This record gives sequence, structure tokens and C-alpha cells, in this order.
Amino acid sequence: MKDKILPLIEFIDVSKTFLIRPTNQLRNFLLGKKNVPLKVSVSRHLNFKVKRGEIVGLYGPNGSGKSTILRLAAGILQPDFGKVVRRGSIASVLELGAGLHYELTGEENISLYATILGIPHDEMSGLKNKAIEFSGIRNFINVPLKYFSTGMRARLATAIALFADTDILLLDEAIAIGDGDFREKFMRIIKKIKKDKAIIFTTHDIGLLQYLSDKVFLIDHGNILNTENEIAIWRIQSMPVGKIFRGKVQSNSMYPFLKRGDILTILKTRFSEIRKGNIIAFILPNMPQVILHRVDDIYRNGNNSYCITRGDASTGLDVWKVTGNDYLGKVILNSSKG
Amino acid sequence: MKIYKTLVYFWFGAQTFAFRDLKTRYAGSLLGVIWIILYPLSMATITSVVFALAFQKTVENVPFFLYTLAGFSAWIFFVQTITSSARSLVQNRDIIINNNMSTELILGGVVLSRCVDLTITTFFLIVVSRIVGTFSFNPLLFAESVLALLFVTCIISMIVSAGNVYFRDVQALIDIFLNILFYATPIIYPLSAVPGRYLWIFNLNPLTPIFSGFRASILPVSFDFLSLNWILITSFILMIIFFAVYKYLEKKFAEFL
Repeated sequence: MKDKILPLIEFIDVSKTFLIRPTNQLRNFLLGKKNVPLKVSVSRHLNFKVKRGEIVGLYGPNGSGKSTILRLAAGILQPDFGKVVRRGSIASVLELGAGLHYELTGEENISLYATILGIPHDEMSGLKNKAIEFSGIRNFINVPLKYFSTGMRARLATAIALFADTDILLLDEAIAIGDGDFREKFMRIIKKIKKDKAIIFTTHDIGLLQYLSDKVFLIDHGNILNTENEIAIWRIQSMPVGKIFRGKVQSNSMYPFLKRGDILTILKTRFSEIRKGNIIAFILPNMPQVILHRVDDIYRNGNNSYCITRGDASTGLDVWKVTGNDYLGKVILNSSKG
Repeated sequence: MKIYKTLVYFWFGAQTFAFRDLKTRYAGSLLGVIWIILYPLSMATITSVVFALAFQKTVENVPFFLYTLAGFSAWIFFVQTITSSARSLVQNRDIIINNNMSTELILGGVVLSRCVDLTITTFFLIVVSRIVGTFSFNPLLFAESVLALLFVTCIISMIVSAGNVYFRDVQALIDIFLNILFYATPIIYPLSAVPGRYLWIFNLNPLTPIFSGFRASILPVSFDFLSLNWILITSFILMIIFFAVYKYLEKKFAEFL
């Protein structure tokens, strides 16, 4: 009963930094140079919980810190600050095929991988049958893995983790390889086993993310973008030039042209394309909010160009200097309250 | 109950890794497991031929060939376990950085697979000594010396494998260390052949009573039981202490690998 209430995974203000040590430490030492490791912050002040029966999807660009979050959740990495609480056993597929051995047969690999996942010996035979059935490799079960295709190896590794009797399941790009049939089977089985587990997975597939997840966390530079504003900023920043973003106006700074609750469209353009009188969207450092202002003046000087903006409804105090780094896009139209 | 379950999991897990090691070690090899016997056999033959020319043909009426074969059987287990352990965690990097597993299973697999080698070479040694007529089995001494050998090997394996994760120099240093140890342990010569002023080195070496005991448990040669008892107790306690240190260091393995 207790574990129905308590989350199985809990991140409490978790931060993680990697120290990348110089490769030529001896040469640096002999030349009298300091061997200063490079500090890379990969997770910052993460706070979230995943309960039994919940599926959390992590979404973000490559290198955003998704896999690090899974490794912290699995206990493979230890946080520098904060705490990761795990209440239950864990199965993880963080790199497809890591742990499988090319010289061993399919069946031997199931034993090996299940051992790595911490499955007790007496649960092995039941797991073997389910994994063989699900991965569809029955005819290859006594064949060395080196003769398996990449897809077959991926199916086998995923199947073992799915059917392992653990409380927490962590999947990193688990469905990246596999045909349409396997993808369908995978989604079906995840829905089936989710009531007994807390599941965290990463994917670049928005459809899968929407279909499976109870919660989606957008990950950017090791942060979870929690608020609507942060997510909107991240989306606009990741868009290529020429794409549009639609959102809801949240303040009356551009009243009467734009009112709170209006739907607006932001067109991603280059900073050099904005003109006097345009309404632009921008952010200010340390302020996770999209600001809408009209351009009052533009000063062009290569990389040091900037514009002066103000809100239509504002007093003279509400004047901002916006550079290309802060600029998000141009507001191209508005419609009435939707 | 939890300890029992953990031990059962460790036993079967180490078996799985040992099986993987054994199967992959001889994959593609023509002679396969015969190499387990061929290696100590060839070493003992070469050494006994060289020593027979220069020194003696028997030690306490035991043929020199059998004397060195007994030494090499235990020594090869010791050396190969330690050198394989030193590289084991680095070689299994993919598993360690992607799974929250007990890495001692990998070490357990290395030790267990080398125990299979030791069993085969010991059996071969017993068969040959029976044929020659010098077989004299002391089960208690055999069990004690093998256990002490196992404990000492496990201690060094834990140190070098964890050390190698943090500093890759360890795998190079261990080869030099084992070379020195080979000549500081009575493997290819009896203690009686060591000049008196150097005997203190052999007396300080914990492997001396272990190797002498192993040999004396199968062949009719003299042996001092008392020192082996001490080594057995001390190595068991040290193994538990080093295991705790290893588990502490294990938390950072994924970051350093």
C-alpha cells in the first residue's frame, strides 16, 4: 500500500557535473602546465517524481542531458548535489545491446542480460520464454548473436528488460530500432505492464511520446523545462527560420493591439530582418518569459546590433534594448480571443 | 534471508559470467580447453629441462618436473586471474556504464572461470603423480592452501581491477609486480635452495606457505602448517575489508570508465 502512495523514483534538487580530464596529463605536467579538468554541467536542480503506474517521457535534442537523467535514475551515476530516491528494483536499456555478447547464443544472452539486470536465477526460465516469444527469435535461440541482425539484437535486449520483474523501467531510445510490427507490440506491452511499474523513457518520436506518456518533460541543457513559458521559449529557439509558433498572449503589454488570451503567431526570422514598427518576441536573461514589444529604433553594427523596444501599453519606463541573442521571432498576426 | 538470496544471486551470476569468459576465451581456437593443461605442462617441461641441466633432478625424491608442475598449476591460476581481473572492468565498460549492476559479478566470473582451469590442471597433476608413484594426498592441507590462494587472489583482483578504472597504469604495473613475485615465491625451486640471507623475503611473502602447502598436499614434500593457518585467517578478514572498500569505489566506476 505504501508504494502506491510513495513515488518509486524521486529526484530531489539533483545536479550533476562531469569533469573532463585533459588527455595529455603527463605532457602538461612536464611542460609545467596545469591539468585543469573541464567542468560540464549536465543536470541542474532537477525535481520530479514518478509513481507506480506512471510513464514519463523525456524529450529534447541530442546532448540535452536525457541519458544522464536516466543514468542518475538507475543509480549508475551519483549526483553531486541533491538526492535520487529509488523505491524498488530497476531494469534499464540505456544502450541497445550493451551487455549482450556476440559469441553467446540468443538463449545464453538472455541469461547474461537478465543477470546484469539483477534477475534472480529462479525467475530466469519464465523470463526466457516471454522474451523469446516477444522478440520473435525462436528459430535463432541457439544461434550465436553475431549472426543476428541489428534489429533482432535490439528486440531481444528490449524484450528482456520489458519482461524482467522489476518496479522501475528505464528505456533510452528503446524503440529507435525495430520494424512497424515490433513498434506496435512494444507500445501494446508498455500499456499492459505500466500499472505495475514506474517507467521513464526517452525518444525523438513525438507520436510515441504523446501516445505513451502520462507526463512529458522537455529537457534542455540539463534542465527540465517545467513551465509553459519555458517550453514555449525552448520550442521557438529550436525552430528553424521560416517556421511559425502559435501561442496565447499572457500579458497586456501590447494592449490594445494584443490582449491577454489572444492567440498570436510568431514567425522565426533573422534578427537582421526586423524593421521599425514590427512587433517582436524576445526573452531577457534569467527571465523565463516571452516578451512582446514594438520596435522603436534599430542600431545596426554587425554582431553588436540591437534595437530599442517598448510595449504599446507601457509608460516610458518600459523600454528594452534587445540583441540578436535575445530575439525569438516576429509577431505576424493576431486573431481575436480563441 | 536477504543475505541468502544475495549469495544465491551472486553464485549464479558469477557462473553466468564465468561461462561467458570460458566460451569466449576459446572461441575460434583449434585446441580449445586443452590449452588449460598445455600451458602449465609446457612451462614445467621447459623449466625442468633447464634446471635439470644446471641443478638437480629431484626435490625430496619428487621428480623436478612434477615439483614445478605443481608450482605452475597454482601460479598460472594466480597470475591469469589477476591479469584478467585488472582489465575486466575496463573491458566490460559498456555493461557498467549502462546498468546499475554489482560489478563484483564480473570479477566473480573471472575468478570462477580460472577456478575451472585450476581444477583441470590439479586433476592432471594428480593423475601424473599417481602414474609416477609420488602421489600423497592431504585433503585438509589441500583445502586450506586452495582457500588461502583463492582469498589472496580475490584481494589482489579487487585492488587491481578498481585501481585500473581510476589509473590505467595499473594494468602495466601489475605485470612488473607479478614478475618480481614469481621469483620471490618458491615455484620453480624449493625453499631449501634459497641462500639463508635471502630467506626473510620468502618468509614475508604470504604466497610462500600457500604455494608450498598446495604442493605438499599432493606430493610427498615437507611443509610447515602453522604459517598457512595464519595466512588463511588474515586473508579472509582482509578480503571482507577490501570488499567493503571496493563497493565504496564502485559508485564512481561509471564516471571514470
